[in-house]
Amino acid sequence: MKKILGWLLMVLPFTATAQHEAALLERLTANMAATARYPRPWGTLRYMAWLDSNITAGHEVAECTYTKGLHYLTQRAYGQAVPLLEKACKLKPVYHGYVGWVYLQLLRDYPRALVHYDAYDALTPDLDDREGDHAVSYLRSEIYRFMGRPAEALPGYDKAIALIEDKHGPTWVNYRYYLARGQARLALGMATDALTDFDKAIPNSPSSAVSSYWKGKALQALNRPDEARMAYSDALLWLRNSTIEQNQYYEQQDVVYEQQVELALAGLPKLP
Amino acid sequence: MTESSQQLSANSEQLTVNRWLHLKLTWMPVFGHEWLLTVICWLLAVLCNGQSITGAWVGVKEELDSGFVCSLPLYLDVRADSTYTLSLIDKAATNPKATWAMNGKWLRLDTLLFQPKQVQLTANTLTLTGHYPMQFRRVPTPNTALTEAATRTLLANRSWQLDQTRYHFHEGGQACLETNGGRDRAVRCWTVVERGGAVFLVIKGTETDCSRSYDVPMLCRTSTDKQLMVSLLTDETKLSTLVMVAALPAGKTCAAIGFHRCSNCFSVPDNQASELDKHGPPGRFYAVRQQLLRLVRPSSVARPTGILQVRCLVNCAGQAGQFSVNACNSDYEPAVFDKSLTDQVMSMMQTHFSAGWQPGRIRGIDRPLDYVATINIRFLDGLITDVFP
Repeated sequence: MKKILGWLLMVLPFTATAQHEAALLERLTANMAATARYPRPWGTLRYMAWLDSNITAGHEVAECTYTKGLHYLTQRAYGQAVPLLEKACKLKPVYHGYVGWVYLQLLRDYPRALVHYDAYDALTPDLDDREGDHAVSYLRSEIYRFMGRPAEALPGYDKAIALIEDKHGPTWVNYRYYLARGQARLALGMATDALTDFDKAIPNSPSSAVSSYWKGKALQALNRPDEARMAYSDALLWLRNSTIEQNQYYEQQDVVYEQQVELALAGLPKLP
Repeated sequence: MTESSQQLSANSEQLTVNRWLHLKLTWMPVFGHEWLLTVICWLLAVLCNGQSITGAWVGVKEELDSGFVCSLPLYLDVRADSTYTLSLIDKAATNPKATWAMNGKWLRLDTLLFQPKQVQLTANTLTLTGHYPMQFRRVPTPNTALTEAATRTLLANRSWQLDQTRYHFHEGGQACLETNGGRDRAVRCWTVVERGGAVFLVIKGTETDCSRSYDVPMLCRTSTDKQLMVSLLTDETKLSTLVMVAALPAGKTCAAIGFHRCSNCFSVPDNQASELDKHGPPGRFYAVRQQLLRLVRPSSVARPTGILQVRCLVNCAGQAGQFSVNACNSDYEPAVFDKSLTDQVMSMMQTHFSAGWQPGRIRGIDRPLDYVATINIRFLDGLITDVFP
């Protein structure tokens, strides 16, 4: 038995290596198959050159300019990306929505994000437009909140929440809406209202560490340290089990890390 | 979009021709007189093309993008009996034996069909153009004086100089490549392999994984006790000489010095930024932010507004290197920030964040990858307002 185990331990690393090499051969064979199937050479730079040729030829100029801008954005080459995205918005105003989101979430350039959302919303004045998953009223409020102007953020949050809450009830509202409004209310000293929001957010996303953390903050502001400690502990529990709120392909501005929660816990009065 | 539809239309046209040729070429040997048909096919290929694909070929390069070329560690053994085998140059993996056919300039390799314009065949090179253009070079007539075993014995436990690089070939298969006068040392793997009668020196892999990142193999030409004449397949005509500089003690190994990428096939534009987890281990960005806020003291004179962007390369072991910094103003135009500020940021990043990154992962690839990590620091009137990936 020992001999078999020893043999297995000796062979396993080589098996893993052989698998890697088989995978390499498989990839090279797949590349050869793609070469046979598609006669035109391909690649990112070639795709960019193709976009350029379309722009020069006047073919789908707005779309190609926009796509090129987004490509530079993924490379974090902002000097090249931003002029192209701005130009695309001028050529096709519907792009204002996504470009606004880019400034808000990826570039953290709040004044520019606001300009783009205003332009986007103005395309259909009687409607609370949506960009991606969110209402523009909510996204605009996010901008005000991140600019440190929570009072201006509140009406937008109220509008976005009421639109869903009135029709379908609070359980259908995105937890981030309650979470955002709660943070804005807390910043304005409205701790009780903020707590109501966090209490509504948590059932809609029970494993959200950020919601528990901010609930703790509201409870601490209301001088309820025992409940705050429990909320912070919940936040730590969720953070140690999942970092999904940190590890999206962009980092949310109000994301919470373990160190922050531990700091908040340390700030509470010591247990007797 | 339109490009895709054009490509689809072209592909469907090609498919019709392909089907016809495929059927014709695949089923030909089934109807008896296989040997006769094979000979006719081969003769047709030679007559129509002037060259025969039959023989041993070594992969030289594949072009993955405009100007982005990687080595192609393949060995293609095309036999006159209409069969061929594709394997890695060092025999580490082999595909099952398959059939080939060449009719005029159409080339079929198993089920892959290359159009005439995709195949360029000369006496010594085979180029397949298409999505990823590939180049193979015919294995030259073997030098009978060199054997795999003798070449391995010659190289092992000795250090050799080739141009600006010093190679230490340890007998356990570890190769150490020193450049920059020994200030930079990469740990790789080496092997000597005989393919098609010729002997190749193959250098590949990283310190921890020998199964990746093959360099273009060196074709061993002639040798003396202290010299080995080799040619890189990328330039058939250029001969280089590995000169023995010292003997190494048996059983010796070496350790890497400096930062090294795991892949020798890496291009920044092709680096799929959005597909990779670039945030590092949990808490990484929080730590970066805290360090920046603690250590970076903007000058009281220069109060910049804009983004300072730090870039670094993260290898598959989670180590970071090749740090660089650039800046833009609030209109995203290139800007020059105060040197003391950029120096502070660079020093902070290199001191505290040169290790412990999360290696790059892409769905469908089970091994960690290299990637470019970016940290953007937004300044407003000299104060840090945001730090984001």
